[in-house]
Amino acid sequence: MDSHESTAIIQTREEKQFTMKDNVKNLLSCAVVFFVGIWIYVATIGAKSFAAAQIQPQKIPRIVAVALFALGFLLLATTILSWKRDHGSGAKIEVSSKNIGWRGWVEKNTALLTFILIFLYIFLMKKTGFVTITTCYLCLQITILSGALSGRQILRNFFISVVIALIVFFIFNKGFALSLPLNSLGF
Amino acid sequence: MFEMFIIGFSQILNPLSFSMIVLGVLLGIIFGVIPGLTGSMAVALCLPLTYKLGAIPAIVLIMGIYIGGCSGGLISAILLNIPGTPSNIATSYDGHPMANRGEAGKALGVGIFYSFLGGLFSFIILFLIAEPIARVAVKFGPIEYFSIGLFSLTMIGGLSGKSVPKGLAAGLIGVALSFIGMSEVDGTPRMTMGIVQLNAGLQLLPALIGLYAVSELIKSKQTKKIEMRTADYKIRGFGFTWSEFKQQFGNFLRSATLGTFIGILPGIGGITSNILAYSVAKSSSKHPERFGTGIIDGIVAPETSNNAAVGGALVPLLTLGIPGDGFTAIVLGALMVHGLTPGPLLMTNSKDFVYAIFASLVIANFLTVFFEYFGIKLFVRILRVPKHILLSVVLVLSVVGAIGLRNQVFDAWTVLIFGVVGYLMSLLDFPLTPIILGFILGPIVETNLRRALMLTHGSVLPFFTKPFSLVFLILAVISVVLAPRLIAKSNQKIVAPTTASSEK
Repeated sequence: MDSHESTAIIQTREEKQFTMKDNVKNLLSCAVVFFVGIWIYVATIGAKSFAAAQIQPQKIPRIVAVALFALGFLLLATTILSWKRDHGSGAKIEVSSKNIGWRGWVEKNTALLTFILIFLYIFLMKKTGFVTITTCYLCLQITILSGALSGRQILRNFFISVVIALIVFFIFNKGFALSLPLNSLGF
Repeated sequence: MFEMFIIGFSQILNPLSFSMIVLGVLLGIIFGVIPGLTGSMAVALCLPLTYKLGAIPAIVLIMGIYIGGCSGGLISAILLNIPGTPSNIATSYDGHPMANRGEAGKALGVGIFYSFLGGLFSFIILFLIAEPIARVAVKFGPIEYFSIGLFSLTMIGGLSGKSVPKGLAAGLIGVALSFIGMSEVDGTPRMTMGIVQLNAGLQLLPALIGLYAVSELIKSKQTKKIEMRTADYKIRGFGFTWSEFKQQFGNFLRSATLGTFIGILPGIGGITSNILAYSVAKSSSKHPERFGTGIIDGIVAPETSNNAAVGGALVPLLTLGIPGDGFTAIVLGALMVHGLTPGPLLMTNSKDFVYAIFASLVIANFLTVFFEYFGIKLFVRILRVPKHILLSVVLVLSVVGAIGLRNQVFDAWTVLIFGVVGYLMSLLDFPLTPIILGFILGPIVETNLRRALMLTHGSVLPFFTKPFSLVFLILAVISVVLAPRLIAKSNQKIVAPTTASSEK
């Protein structure tokens, strides 16, 4: 193999500084754990077996709910103790109030926009057909993730999206006979 | 056993199966090399392909991805100091300093070679112990399966995250999600919230795709092109001498044993094994101060152990039907799609199929060395492929895979729901692996407990009088007691070398 000093242009994720404090995260975690526990309890009301069983079908889910409550309280206790310690040390959270433009807004809300795009992608698939909605989804998703918002770059993304959507459609629908939602035009 | 291997090889040495292994290994290495992409994403990408394939070509494709993905991450760990996968974190501690010193070729050669040896070691252990374990396990009843399931739950909850309560809670949330649908013992619908499609329960594969692939896409931020220099990577031979090989034999043997053992334990895979093997190698060395400065001992240990964990993780899957890590959970799902249920009966009734898997592991291991050794330039170039396009395509194929499973768009919603759950859980520092393993183990624990109590007429005494059951119940208690200490130690070990390297 030749000696090769090279430079590689690579993609690196521009990681945002994660600013949510551990204590806030733990409090939210407690809320999630309690919520799941309550949901299990409520969702198993009325789940009774007509068969003679040593354990009714709602029993084990409720044991899991109780275990989640116990873990929730444990998390809450450790969070309160840690909060008191941090409060005593006078630690403060600095909140940045930097004004950002719409490009910045897109960058800041990538996760939310991605979620909305996937939601619409699945929701509209039956109505619009696989190829149409996949092209739209890919174009928007690639644009959001690349941060390339100029007209030319969006056009390039659109071209890439059409090609990918058609390739996926022909491989899986025509090649592997997978049943994908189609519109009235048959794609 | 030898005859079975010949049958296994004969089943995969046909153009279709062999090309599937090649495709799997290449995809695995590519997804392993690119930081932020995972082997699970590569499986999501290939899943729709596997539906129309037979069981053997489908499973050997996934095995190829598994082996390639475990090893591929070492390339970016050594050349860029960015581990391609979490299983290669410790490889960068000594690999990158060697690369900076102009010894990248040697570091890569050592990494590739010991990845191969580590994998081979664990496969030999797998071949030797899988059948005897399955022969014992075939006699297990619901009591033993309940105890094994419970032990596995305590392991995944306690050892796969930074916080024991969060790890356990994640495991229990997974268990709770598995209860949605009709109960297995009496067919009573539970937690369906009146949604008819939920009567059949949540499907494993859409859940896996959502948790591992979609949550990663939602998490991903905008990518920008920046220029990064890769170190000089000229490889001659495997870069080390015969005397170095002899010197490293003890390190190799220890790391391979550790990796295989850690792989066997449910819920702990290559991530823990590579860091632990590095720490053990450092503490057993006569010159621990040289670790982190760029010595081959620091590459041999993590690369041997993370690949050894592969064979280890397949032991509980193939013999008991319990996945060892997130990836083997996907293998479990893929097997189920093809009507195969992993466990002792698969080992005894479908031996030819199991040996085809074994044979594919060996071939994939050889192909990984071949492709990594001769294709290193290509894989470095692949780092240039825009990640925003790859991630978006993975999502489309994940949705296609989910819809194709039962021809229902409803399964695509499962993918999205699990994607959001995975995203929110990782924001709150909940580990994801326990959720999916809890999702798999939940029905095993519940169904076997209910069946066992029917058999014992409500008495719990047999759980403590049956020797195997008692052993696993004791192990469950030990794992809950020891987990916090092990986590604290493991966190210290992760911090220590990073601090050391940043100080340099």
